[in-house]
Amino acid sequence: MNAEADIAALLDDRELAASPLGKVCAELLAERARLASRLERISRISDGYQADLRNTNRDLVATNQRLEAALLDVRTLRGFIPVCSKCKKVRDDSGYWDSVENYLGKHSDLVLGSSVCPHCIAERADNSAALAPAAGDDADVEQRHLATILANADWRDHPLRTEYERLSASFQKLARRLTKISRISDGFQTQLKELNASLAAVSRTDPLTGVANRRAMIDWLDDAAADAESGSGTFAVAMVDIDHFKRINDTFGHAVGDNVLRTIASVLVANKGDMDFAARWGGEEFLLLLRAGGDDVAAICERVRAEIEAVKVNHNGKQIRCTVSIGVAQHEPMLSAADTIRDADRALYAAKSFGRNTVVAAETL
Amino acid sequence: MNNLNLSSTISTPSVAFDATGGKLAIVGESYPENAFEFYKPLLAWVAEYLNSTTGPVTADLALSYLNTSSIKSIMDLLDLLEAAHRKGRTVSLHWRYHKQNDRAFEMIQEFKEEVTLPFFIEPIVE
Repeated sequence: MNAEADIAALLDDRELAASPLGKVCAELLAERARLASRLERISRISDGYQADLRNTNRDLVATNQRLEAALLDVRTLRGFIPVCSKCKKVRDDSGYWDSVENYLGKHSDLVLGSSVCPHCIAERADNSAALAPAAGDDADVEQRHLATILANADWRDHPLRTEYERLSASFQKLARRLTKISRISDGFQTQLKELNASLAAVSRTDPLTGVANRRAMIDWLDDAAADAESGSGTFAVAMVDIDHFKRINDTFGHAVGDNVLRTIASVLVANKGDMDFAARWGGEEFLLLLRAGGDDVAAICERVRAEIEAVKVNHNGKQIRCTVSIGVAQHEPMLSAADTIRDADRALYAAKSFGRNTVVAAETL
Repeated sequence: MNNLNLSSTISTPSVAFDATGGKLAIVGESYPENAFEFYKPLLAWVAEYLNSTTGPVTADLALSYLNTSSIKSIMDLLDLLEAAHRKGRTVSLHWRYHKQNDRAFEMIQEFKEEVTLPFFIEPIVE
């Protein structure tokens, strides 16, 4: 029999139960029962949290797999020649990549859904705070309590003395275990949280170039548009499109095409300010979100264009050069980010028709 | 005594308790909605096995994720094994973990501190 059952049996004796040590025993017994049920409750609450974390983890893994599949499809599409279904001529407009973007948009709905809303998380946190164990303290307090009881000369020969000692040991073990279980559990939760954070980062990153992906940029654009609406600073959008990228791919192969994409991504990252963002927007298209205004934007875009023109990508000893066309649009408060992107797209189209390798601002059209 | 075998599910580990060889294996992740219910028959089996037999016992654990109730249940399992060990029975425990998971070792170490029986923490070599 365990200490709790033994002492409960002894306390059936009225005289023993009524003795001062009997009362102390009964208190500790009740305290131990409280601690045991608290451990179960903490476990259940904690399990709820962990289940939420696991669900988020599953969502993230599934999202990343879908993103990977979608990117694979885009790679396949990139190899096709865009031919107009009516006139059978090779298309040179942005419609082809628009359809690719639509495809990506449809397939990479990277909603980083967590199954618990902030309200519920806060509510749960309150509950668990109320139940938070001071278990280490409980054990220490009981250890001191035991010492005083053992030191009491009046109770030296009390029939409950030995049993109290056993019960106290059991109580202290339970109290320490509560702390330990909480600590191990925290370790697992931290591990899962870190994993989720890195998965979330992956799902917002373009795997080829390492810059942000379209999903991340859409969030930034929404934030920037909201800021502009509330009067806390405006922004500009620069659509950067590689000139004759298909020709590079067809001539030198996709590996070189990928190198070109990486090189351009690095030029964009090197030229953007701390408050600016760069993302791969589509196949050979990048988007810059620039928090600077007016002349600065034009200067940054011109610098990017010139640097890319000057950079050489090495391929089997051959130096491959490439250029970009850039369409810029300043965001107007009251308009949506999508409107500004459309303006930048229009400017980019103009830059292409002006002979490429140039920067065009939507405002000048 | 019959063996106890359970296949793993998305939230429960696989269980292979071999009564003849005295081998207790629990492998996988453990975060069922009601872990206490899941582990109850397992703990009952082990208690019964330790009571009714005398041979050496080897526990082989490879649990990469445990929710809180599962942690408590595994500690209850350790208590049973520890009690048998203290009575003089040959009991050993091997807990395997993936080496790239650097937190895992620390957490298994926490379990190890709870007992005095031979407890081996072993990285899984791939």
